[in-house]
Amino acid sequence: MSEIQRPPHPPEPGAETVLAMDNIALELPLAGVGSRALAAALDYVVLGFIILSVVIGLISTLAVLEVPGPWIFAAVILTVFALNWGYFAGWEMLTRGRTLGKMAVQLRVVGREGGTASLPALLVRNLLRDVDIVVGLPLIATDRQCRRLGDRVAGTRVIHDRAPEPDVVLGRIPAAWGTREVAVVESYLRRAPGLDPDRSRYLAGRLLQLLARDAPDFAAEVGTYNDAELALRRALRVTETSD
Amino acid sequence: MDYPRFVRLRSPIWDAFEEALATARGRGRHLGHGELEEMAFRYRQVLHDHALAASRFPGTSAARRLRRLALVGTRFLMRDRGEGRPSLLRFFTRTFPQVFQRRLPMVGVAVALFAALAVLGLAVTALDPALGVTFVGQGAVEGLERGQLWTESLTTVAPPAATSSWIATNNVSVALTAWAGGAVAGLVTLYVVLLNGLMLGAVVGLTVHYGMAPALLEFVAAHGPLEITIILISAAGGLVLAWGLVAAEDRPRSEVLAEASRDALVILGGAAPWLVLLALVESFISPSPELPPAFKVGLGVALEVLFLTLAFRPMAGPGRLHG
Repeated sequence: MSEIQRPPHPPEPGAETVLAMDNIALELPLAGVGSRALAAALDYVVLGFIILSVVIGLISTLAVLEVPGPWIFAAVILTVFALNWGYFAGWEMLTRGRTLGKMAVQLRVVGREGGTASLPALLVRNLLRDVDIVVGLPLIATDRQCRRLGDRVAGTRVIHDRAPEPDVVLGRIPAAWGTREVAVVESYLRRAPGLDPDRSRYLAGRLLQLLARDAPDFAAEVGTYNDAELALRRALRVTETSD
Repeated sequence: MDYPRFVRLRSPIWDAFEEALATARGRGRHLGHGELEEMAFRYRQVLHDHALAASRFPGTSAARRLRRLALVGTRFLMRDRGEGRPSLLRFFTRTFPQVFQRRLPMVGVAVALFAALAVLGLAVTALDPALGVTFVGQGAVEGLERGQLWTESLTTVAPPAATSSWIATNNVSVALTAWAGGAVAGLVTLYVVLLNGLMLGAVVGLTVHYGMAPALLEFVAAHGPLEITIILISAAGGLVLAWGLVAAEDRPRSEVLAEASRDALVILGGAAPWLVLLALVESFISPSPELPPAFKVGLGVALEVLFLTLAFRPMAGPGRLHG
């Protein structure tokens, strides 16, 4: 066991390779500065409203009770700290690593090996959040693992965690085709609904030409067609997973 | 190219795993043992398929799906193993004792130097009290002559004769100076250790000379022993760092230095918090005339024993093996 087996293709940019069970390489799709800043901004908007309303309520209550000024000041500082920490740590602990902002941007906090982050780690990484308001962005931007200070101390990573999207799988392929062709056709079919119709028709036509060249029998089965995309789907017996 | 065959044969497993994940997530963590076993088995199959797909069919839908399933499954079934998990309790009961015991020789050096200079200071003052005055400072001695005992810190970073009063500084800055002094090849650390040894000896000698020794002992009994211990251990941390800087070893210097600074930090982290406790004892218990001396002595001994028991806690782990 001198060398770690890496996947033959290079990891995607912004991915960290960790070893899962049986030393199988797993790529964590790390979230970069942009998405994390967006998530944090959303969270701070929500948190801002919470803090504002709670603090106004607190001050007016304490003022009515005629609490001396310095005590009100202390109570406000404590409350702001508790809300700030509690909001982020609380959400992340309840949802296994997500805050409202992270849900919106589809991010998640995980442990350094891709497992669920432990509760102490979540508490610690959010304790350092106020420091990271200043130093966090440059740290994330310059770190290979995109960690801010809190992530470094707590040993956590923030990854993209997208909801599963409908996927297409080819049921049969010409014998001459390799992985590249499969990937291209699947990627086209996945994106076809969102493409400009003319563009989509043109791409499907090109792919059908390729198919007619490599597997005339497949193409012959479909015969003539109006809808190129549908013809392609039929010829390759495409199944749609809706997970 | 058997991509379609791979998908046809294996996708039922992936579907089953995906379904199991969905139901498990719906029900929180209340999974039966059997369900969990089955899920772990399926996870393993998915993980192996992911490895296969990533190498044989990169970029395909199946590879994408397996990658996502492997990630979600890993997150669901694995909890971070918690190495480097911050645990205060573990730090004080495991990490600190381990490092402390590994670096015991340096603690010994600090204690020996301190003791030697304390004896020297005591001897010098006993032979010539006037010389002791130059160490302790005129103000404090005038107080002693009037039968007053300063109730300030025992330790210092500068000879009080050089500063205007005995209240040179507090324990925390003494400990920090001794520790950080390691960064300049330990010169400052040595200075602090030697100075404080000499001062302690001189002070004890002078108080004996003026017949104030019992009062001094009563004042320092509660916090003194542990205070000196902590400062010497912080100094040992500085010496560890200094040793990494100046001493040659077989391993590359950068490696030795990295380990030394880590150990030095652990030593400071394990020792310094006690100073907070000692500061409380020193301000509220030590000067209190109502508390009987026996109580103060007992407290001092108890604190010292508590700390040493923790520091010398028998370690079964690798701490000792490193020697």
